[in-house]
Amino acid sequence: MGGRGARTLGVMLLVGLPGGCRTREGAEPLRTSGASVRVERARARLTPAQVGAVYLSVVNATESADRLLSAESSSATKVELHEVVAREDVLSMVMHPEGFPIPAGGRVELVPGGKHLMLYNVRASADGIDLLLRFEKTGAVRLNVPVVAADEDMR
Amino acid sequence: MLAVLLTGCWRDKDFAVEPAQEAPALEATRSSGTTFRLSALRGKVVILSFGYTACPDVCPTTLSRLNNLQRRLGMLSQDLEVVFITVDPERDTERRLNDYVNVFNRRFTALRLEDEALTKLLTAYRVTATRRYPDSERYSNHAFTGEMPYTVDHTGGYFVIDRGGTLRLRIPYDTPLERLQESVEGLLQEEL
Ligand SMILES: [Cu+2]
Repeated sequence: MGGRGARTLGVMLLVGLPGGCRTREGAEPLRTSGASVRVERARARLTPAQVGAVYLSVVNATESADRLLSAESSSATKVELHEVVAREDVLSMVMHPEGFPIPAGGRVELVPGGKHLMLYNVRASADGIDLLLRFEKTGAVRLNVPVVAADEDMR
Repeated sequence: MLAVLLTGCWRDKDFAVEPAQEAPALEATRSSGTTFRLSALRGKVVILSFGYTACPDVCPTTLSRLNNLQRRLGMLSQDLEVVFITVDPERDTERRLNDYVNVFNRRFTALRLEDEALTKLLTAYRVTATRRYPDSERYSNHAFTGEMPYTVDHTGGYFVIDRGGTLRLRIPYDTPLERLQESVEGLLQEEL
């Protein structure tokens, strides 16, 4: 049941996003000329517990700040923006419902032990997983994320 | 050579457990029915780590790092044992825990203790583990069935026990692999 629901959502996303988002099919980078917001080095690690994490870098070559607002994937029931925060040696995962700011001319790094996207009830696929990122200014970016072996050190 | 040794010794003070103490006892029944006893691993260097399988980031990072550490140690790794202890025995069944740890390395040991036994162990190692529930409003229509998607805030890092059974080092989770290797190699090169 859950799987079917997720698949339906995935199909919807491929067809087009409701609400007039500035989606461009398969667009990455978004702007063909000049400055853009790009996603680099995206990779996912999934575990047998059906959770996973996506790590990537967002490079903002534009002159205005942007923000990664949210993410979705047809391979997971839910994707959340998280950050691991250490208080002495205790590690907590803190949710960032407000998103990750990306400074003008700057970048944000999602790395193991830091900011990441958490995937819930994720199903692995040899072809990688699809991911849709929603940015405040840039709009939606769709990408395919390769799945890295769980035992690889991904830093 | 001398300088290198001195530097090595000095730098490990970063992680030293002071005063060094006998590693608190750890016993657990395994799915095979046998009993795991930490004391039976005398003569080896043991790394303990605490976590849970529903962890998307910290625990996979820790275990993949330990797998890489083992690879880098080559022959020395024969004398290294890695033990992962779940702090979430309610969701981590024996089976789930073993499947999980095996993905990272088949030689790693996964242990599950419950209730008082777990509490006692966590206290002895000064490890904390607290559930964190997402706020109910955001999850009012989540897609999970029968499983609240809580995460567990827990003490990370590597607890390293020397060949003589002494808890020597407590290494933070974000220590670079090279540095972790340096410390563990140091203990592996000690005579019993
Ligand atoms: Cu964890």
